Amino acid sequence: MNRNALTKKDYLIASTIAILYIIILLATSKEIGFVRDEGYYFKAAELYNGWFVELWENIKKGRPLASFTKANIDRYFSYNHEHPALMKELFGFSWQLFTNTLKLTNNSTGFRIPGMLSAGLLLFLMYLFAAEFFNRRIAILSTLMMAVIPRFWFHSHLACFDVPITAMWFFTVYAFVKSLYSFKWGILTGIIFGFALATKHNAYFVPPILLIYILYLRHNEFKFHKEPNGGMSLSIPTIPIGFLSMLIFGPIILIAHWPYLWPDIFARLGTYFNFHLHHEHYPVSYFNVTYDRPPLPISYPYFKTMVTVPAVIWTLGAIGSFRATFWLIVQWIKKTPQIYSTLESRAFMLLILLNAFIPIFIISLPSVPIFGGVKHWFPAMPYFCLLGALEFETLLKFVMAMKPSLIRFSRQIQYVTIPLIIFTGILGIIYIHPIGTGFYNEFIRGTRGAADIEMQRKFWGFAGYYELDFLNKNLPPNSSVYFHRTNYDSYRMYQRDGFLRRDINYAGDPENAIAATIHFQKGYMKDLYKTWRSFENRIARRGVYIDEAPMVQTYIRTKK
Amino acid sequence: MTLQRVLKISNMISLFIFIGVLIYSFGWYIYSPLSRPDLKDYENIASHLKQRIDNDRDVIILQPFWAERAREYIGDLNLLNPRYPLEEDFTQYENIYVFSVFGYGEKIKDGLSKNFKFIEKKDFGKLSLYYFKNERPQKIIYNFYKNIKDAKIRVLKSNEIKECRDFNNDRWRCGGPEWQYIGREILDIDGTGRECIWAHPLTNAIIEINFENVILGDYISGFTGLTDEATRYVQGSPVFMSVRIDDKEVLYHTNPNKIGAHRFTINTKDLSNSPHKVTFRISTHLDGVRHFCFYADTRLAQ
Repeated sequence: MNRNALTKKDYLIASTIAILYIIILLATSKEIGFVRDEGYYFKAAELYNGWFVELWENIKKGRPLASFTKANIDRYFSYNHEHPALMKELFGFSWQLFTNTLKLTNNSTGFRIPGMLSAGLLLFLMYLFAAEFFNRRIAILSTLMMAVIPRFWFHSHLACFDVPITAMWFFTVYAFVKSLYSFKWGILTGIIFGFALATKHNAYFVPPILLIYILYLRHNEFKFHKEPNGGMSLSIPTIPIGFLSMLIFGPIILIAHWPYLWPDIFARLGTYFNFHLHHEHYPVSYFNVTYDRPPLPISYPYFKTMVTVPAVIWTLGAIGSFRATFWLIVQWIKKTPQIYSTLESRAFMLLILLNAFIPIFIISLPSVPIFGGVKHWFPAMPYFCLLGALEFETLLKFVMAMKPSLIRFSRQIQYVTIPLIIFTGILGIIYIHPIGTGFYNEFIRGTRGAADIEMQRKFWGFAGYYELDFLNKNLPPNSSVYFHRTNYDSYRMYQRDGFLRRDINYAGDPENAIAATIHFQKGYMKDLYKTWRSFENRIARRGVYIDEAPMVQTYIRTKK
Repeated sequence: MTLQRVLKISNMISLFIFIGVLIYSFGWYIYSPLSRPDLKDYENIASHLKQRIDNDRDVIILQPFWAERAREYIGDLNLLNPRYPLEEDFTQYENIYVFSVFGYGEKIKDGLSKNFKFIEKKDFGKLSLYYFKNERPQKIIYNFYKNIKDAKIRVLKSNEIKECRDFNNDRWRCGGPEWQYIGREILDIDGTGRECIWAHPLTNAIIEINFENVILGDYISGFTGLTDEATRYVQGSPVFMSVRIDDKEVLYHTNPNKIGAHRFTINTKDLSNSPHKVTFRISTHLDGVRHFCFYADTRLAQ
């Protein structure tokens, strides 16, 4: 395994990609409706921020301890306590700064900025990682491939945890690898891991991956010794400083950042773990069947990845994964000097493969609660893109070796092919934006193919946003609307940000509404039928469609 | 084979796959928008249909089943979008139109032609309309679903008979939990929203739904079904429906714990054109998640 010294140019390229991406995300943020989880997180962020504002006031008044009573902590932090507080605190701080203080954004964008920054951070780190351990071409390609995955693009806009944890997962692994060469990074690994734990519970799966990596890397250091007294002793490899640091800083940061835990740390941590071990199941449609309880078919996350990552990127990633696995096995069976000839390089490739595979593998386990969204295995995708870029590199070298006359055109070839690969992802974004959850790739003929086999193309209730203009223009004063999968907190934010008239009321049922925005999500279609019956008509007044497949439709009650 | 050779062959295969997928990908993104119909196409096809459709006599079948933009344009015309149209019963309709998006109508043209006469295909931009004629439509004389308010409902237990007298909002309520009622619903059965009578069975009881003075024809025709959601409850019991005419059992139908609309037909030619009492009795062994419903009508063959 080679390590390249990162230069200013590398930091410049990484920063440029990250900053451009964040700017584009910011510019397009208002085009994306509020997903269900955002409704809850907006509310939580505002509450949590309220605690810090009050703490500041109490400090100024000389009575800071007043903020730390159990009653006061619970007043602010008991809402949405099933997730660590870090991202919600950041959403709140961002809102306080950009919306309240600087008056630069509306409320929702103010909350969303930390999510976008996480996407930028991930791209920044991806570039540096690949530039450090491979080369610039691989770094640029892998980073841009990640950036143009349409579902990642969609999720990067949101005030949610999935993109942030992807960034923090990647950062932890990167820091750990660097910690093998640097004490400073050893300490930093623990701190970064602590923030990863504070971002989302996916972080708990990182240490086992790192453990497998280190056990393989240092397996030669396991040695049995014969003792003079006839007994045996075992010497074990040096434990990397990164692990010790994770063990120390991980729990400290998790607890320190989350005031909700402080009044009763163990009981409340227990509640947190218990919630995720017995998580509710999200209904998921897959090949004409809606699964609302485990087990999901084992193939689910693998197939879903295959059809939701742009076809060219998936092809490179999949072949790259197979190739890397194949060579690792070849090396294991029969040592060959051709590839991965050092233990260090083999272990490093194993680390990349494990990270690309394990987040998907976990979801495929029959005992795991149903988490259907691809966002739940986003942490695998940076590594999958890296494997794809490595495959492209292999092919480029292969072509050059086959036709040496092309070597002098190698720059031109990459200048054409890399943009072509990335452009297929951009086409995917253009095709689906802003309904990112509906993206299916060319392999199954896009969203229309997904509709044929009833793959889930809509969830989270955000598409109701695109019906608001129609409702604003066409409903009489004080109308009640059944917003279906759009939750109450998202509805409140639409009103706060001026997207929805203030006099329009939220109805929990079509019976009590004169209009309904129905989201086409299998498992909730009974609400469409209920609306038809209650409204006494089946005339859609308008809707949002991708390739003629409906995402959301608006119905109006028949006047009597 | 040497590793060198393996490497070369695998590189070659990978290169071909990569180039192939890249070309396909661009091809698809060019084709996809070009294949989409314009809104004007919808307006034209809808205006054509509105001049022709009689909701009592005719039906429009949407192909593919998910292309629901059509609902914005055709108003309240009788549009059905079954998941598997060739498994449905359209014999009551005289004129059958297939509203085809992306050429999906072609997929069912031959199947429908077996029972109905194909008359013509008309293109409206990128949309198409297939027209089939049913030369011998069955005539519905009595629709149990539409006449649920006329039903008399009883719950029969071993030593108790309970009459359900509370009718409100298309539902006969029989007390007990909120799901315990008999009434009109549209339910997701076999991936399709179907109009049917909700009749959740009860453990150790029989639900009896009586219709008096029903004019019979040549057949009683209909289906039973469990909602798709209910069929995923693996321990679910089958549901039994007995149909009685003038207190004589003429059908004992079992709805297995399987997805689908399970059809039945009862020959009533000997009793046609005269009023009779028709009774549906619904029962099960265990009522857990038995989201059951049925549809039935009486018909005259022509």
